[in-house]
Amino acid sequence: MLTLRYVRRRVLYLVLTLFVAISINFFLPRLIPGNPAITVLLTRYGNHITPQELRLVESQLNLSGTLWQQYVGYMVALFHGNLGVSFYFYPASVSSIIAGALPWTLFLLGSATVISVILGVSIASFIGWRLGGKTDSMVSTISISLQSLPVFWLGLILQIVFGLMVVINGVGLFPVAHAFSTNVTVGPNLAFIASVLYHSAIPILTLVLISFPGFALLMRNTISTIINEDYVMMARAKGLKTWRLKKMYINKNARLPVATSVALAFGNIVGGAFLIEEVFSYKGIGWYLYTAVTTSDFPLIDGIFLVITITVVIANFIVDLLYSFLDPRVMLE
Amino acid sequence: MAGERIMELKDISISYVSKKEKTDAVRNVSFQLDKGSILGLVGESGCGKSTLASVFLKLIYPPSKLMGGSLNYYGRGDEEDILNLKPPDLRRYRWKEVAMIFQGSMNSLNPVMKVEDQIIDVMIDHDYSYTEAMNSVDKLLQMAGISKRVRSLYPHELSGGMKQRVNIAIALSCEPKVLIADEPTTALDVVVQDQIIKKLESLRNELGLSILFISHDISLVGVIADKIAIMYAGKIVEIGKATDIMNNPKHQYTIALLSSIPSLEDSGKKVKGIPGKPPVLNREIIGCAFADRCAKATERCRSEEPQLEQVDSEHLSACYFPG
Ligand SMILES: Nc1ncnc2c1ncn2[C@@H]1O[C@H](COP(=O)(O)OP(=O)(O)O)[C@@H](O)[C@H]1O
Ligand SMILES: [Mg+2]
Repeated sequence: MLTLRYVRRRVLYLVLTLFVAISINFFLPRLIPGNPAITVLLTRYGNHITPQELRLVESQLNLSGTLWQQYVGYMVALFHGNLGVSFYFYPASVSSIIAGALPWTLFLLGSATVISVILGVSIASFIGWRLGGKTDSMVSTISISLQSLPVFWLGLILQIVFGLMVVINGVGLFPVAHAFSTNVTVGPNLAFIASVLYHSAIPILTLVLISFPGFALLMRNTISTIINEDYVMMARAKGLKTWRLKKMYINKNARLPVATSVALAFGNIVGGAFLIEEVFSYKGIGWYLYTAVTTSDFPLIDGIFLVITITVVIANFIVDLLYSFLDPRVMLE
Repeated sequence: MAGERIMELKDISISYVSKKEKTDAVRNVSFQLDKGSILGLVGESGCGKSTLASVFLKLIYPPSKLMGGSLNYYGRGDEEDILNLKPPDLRRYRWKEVAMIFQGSMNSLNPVMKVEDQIIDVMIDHDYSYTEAMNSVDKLLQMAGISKRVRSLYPHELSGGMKQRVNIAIALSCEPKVLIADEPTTALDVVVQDQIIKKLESLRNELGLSILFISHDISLVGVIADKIAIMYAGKIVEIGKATDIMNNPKHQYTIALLSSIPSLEDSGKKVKGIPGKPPVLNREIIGCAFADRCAKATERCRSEEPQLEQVDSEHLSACYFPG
């Protein structure tokens, strides 16, 4: 059940979280001594800039005045929807870079999360009926091992195996880099969509392999306790058909903790997606963040963290809604 | 004269088996349940009543294990060996022939399903049509003494007494011939307790249900039961007509149970339970299981176990000190 009070509280929470996150993101990188931004400018345009030109660029990049003045300037600009200009990709605006990169990341993240949850829940429903058996211990062992692999390492291995080792007609089975190939026209056409899916297969596979075991193990363990609940014993006594017992009495209850854990796991999957983008030169938010961090591109770092914060808060909100829909006992207020 | 039987237990033994130990919760229990009558099963908590109840629907899942015995059902004419039914036949027998109100009935309802869906699903799986099931909900709730308004509610929206009545409605949904009621009134206040007892009595009278009424409270069972079986440490130690058991008990344990009932005259006094505790069932018991708590126990009681013997017509007791 959803109440107006809940929505209002949630929005207030979002605004507060954003304010704190924005402030921290602003000050933290700028606490590093020196001003690497000017260094970047100098290396880009040589030593021939006049003081007037420097001041002009400085004011455009919000680098003039004290740090405090810069902060106020940044906040005012932000309030007008202006995220500033990237140092490294100058003169591209931060908003335009994020707008171009975000859909790719959301695509990776969204597909990986949905596939992981579906896969995890299906596997758990399957072994939940055979607890303590051979399949159970095998699946559990594999899951625990997969879960503890570093995501970039698994990404590299899969990249090497499917992109370089398995070769057909002199070409790797799957591409090793980029989100789509250069010989398709970007747009809603079949060739483009096919190319996007083809390029995303291994990155998504990597993320799924790392994320699904958590969901599978959680649901398996939940099933093992739910099996002993009074209402499951009653369901057996009722002589229900097996599919109904499993679906309506066991799985319907066992998936509740999974819904909660999606919200918690989401942060990890975001982190994983970023590393994977770097490994596969997949130009999403993570790839840009890596570039921005290595070149001290403050405005871009700030903008990206802002987007991450918003995404995580919204994802939590969606999970809350989903949970209240799954569990009648939960009132969102 | 014994009534016409609907179920008969022979030598039922059930244990809880783990790697570490084996608890013999039910040991060689035999008795019969008469058609259209109420049999009360009484004993202190931990005596094995719930474990015994589980056999009627063959609800025996690890760590519980059937060690031996048989259960015959006569509700469909021929004698049927329930413990050897094939899984599909067992499924059809459950709830359609014998239904149950569980001891943990506060938690017996599925928290994520509406009340009506928990009535409808079992009816559909026992070959009622959807419309038939849908239309029965109001009548069943009414029969259980609860407003039909609750049909669209979830269990967490109900009070303890309401949940218990919903459990009764579910139990009646497939028109069973036998009802196992395991402590159906424990954890309810006395007024609701009284209403539920009356409800069960009227169900027996109107529908001709055969009921096994389980309770640790012998005074409660005395009110409702036609026959009473007394259980101690996994065994039946005395069984007979309710009037005989209540007025002329033979086993020292039954006598102790009856004398621990607070009477109305001295209601101000503290209820005196039987001193001591029932024995743990994870090792062999030599002699009478009650001997350690019995004032009359002799050397013979401690070394040689008394067997159930006829003490009166339809009255059996396993005690060397009858009366
Ligand atoms: N799941 C279980 N695992 C192990 N022992 C159990 C289990 N359930 C009950 N027991 C044991 O079996 C004995 C009888 O329990 P129970 O049938 O619940 O008694 P009652 O219903 O008369 O209170 C007790 O000693 C109890 O400890
Ligand atoms: Mg019990």
